[in-house]
Amino acid sequence: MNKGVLEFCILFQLYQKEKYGYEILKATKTAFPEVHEATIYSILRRIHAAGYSEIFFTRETLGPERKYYRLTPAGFTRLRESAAEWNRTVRAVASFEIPLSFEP
Amino acid sequence: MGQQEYLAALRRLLRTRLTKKETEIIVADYREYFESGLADGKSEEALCLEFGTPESTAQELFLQRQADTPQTGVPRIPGAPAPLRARVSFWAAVVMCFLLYMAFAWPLNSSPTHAVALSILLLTLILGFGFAERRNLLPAWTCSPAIYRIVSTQFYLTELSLTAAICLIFLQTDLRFSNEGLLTQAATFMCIGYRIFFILFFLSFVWNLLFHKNRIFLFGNLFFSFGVFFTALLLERQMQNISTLHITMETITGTYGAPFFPILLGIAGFLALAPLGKRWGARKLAT
Repeated sequence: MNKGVLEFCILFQLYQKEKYGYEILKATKTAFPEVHEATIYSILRRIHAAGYSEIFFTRETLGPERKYYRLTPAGFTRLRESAAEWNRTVRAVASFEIPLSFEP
Repeated sequence: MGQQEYLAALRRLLRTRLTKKETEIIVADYREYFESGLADGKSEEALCLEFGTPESTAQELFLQRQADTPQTGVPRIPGAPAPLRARVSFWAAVVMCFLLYMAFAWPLNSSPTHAVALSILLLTLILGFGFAERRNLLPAWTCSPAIYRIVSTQFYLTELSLTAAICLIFLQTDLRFSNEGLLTQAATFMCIGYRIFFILFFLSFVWNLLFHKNRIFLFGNLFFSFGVFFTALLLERQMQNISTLHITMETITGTYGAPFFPILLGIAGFLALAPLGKRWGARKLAT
């Protein structure tokens, strides 16, 4: 799976709501079952290293201490760029009018 | 496989190629995922299956990291100091070359050009390896756990056996030689042997400093390389008045006390540091 797409999906998840690592891992893995957990984790780490997300710790009642990820302004800019590129790609592919779940 | 075994295996695998700090961050994250998964009502076994084997996880992390390195590497600000690790490695290499020069040129009066050329060659090798390692240019097999284990075990055993050998030589209370020619040959042979061992130890020290940062091996290698170095010096000095060689325990501790003590110190330090290091490591893992 294209790493750019995975990154876009993770950034979008963080844009919707601040999330903890396992939540992001689970949601992404459900959508892309063939992707290794470590790949998703690596992208999450890269997003953080690039300054697109910030972390904070919260302890829920009766739960483990969790590292939460939140989108930063830089991350928002990145999401906007990724979204623009994604829209371009989708529009370009859609222009061929390929039917949904097309199997030649 | 349970959570503890999974995390232990992952830590061991990651340590072969990542720094301790990075490894601990990743392991802590995976521990949190385990706890989150358990809170979701999944079993440890199911989570292990979900995360994939520790081997595949480590492999994937290495691959992703390798792919990321050129893009995410923070560009050095011109004029800013180099990262500490790079500086330490550089100075270690410089010190090593100086010592190599001493080992070759000083006691044996061999040609200085020879020594300088060899030093430059070794410096290039060490810095080249360090550079390749940092840029992830080394092939994966050089960093595999098996190679790491072989290399570290081998150094450990070599050090211990060599210390024993050196001690035995020194503890021979009455060394008398009748054949002068044979004695000269034997002494020359020993001098060359010690020099080679010195280089081996020092290379393993620098290797550890560059790649593994294993405290126990670092101290061990440093102590032993100096021990061997001084032993070589002692033997060469002894060779000068070779016709009257008659070593007793008194002459060793009296005249040649100085080289004897680094070795004792080395053994003591090594034996003291090994369990300490283990305990320190265990406490770090527990927190």
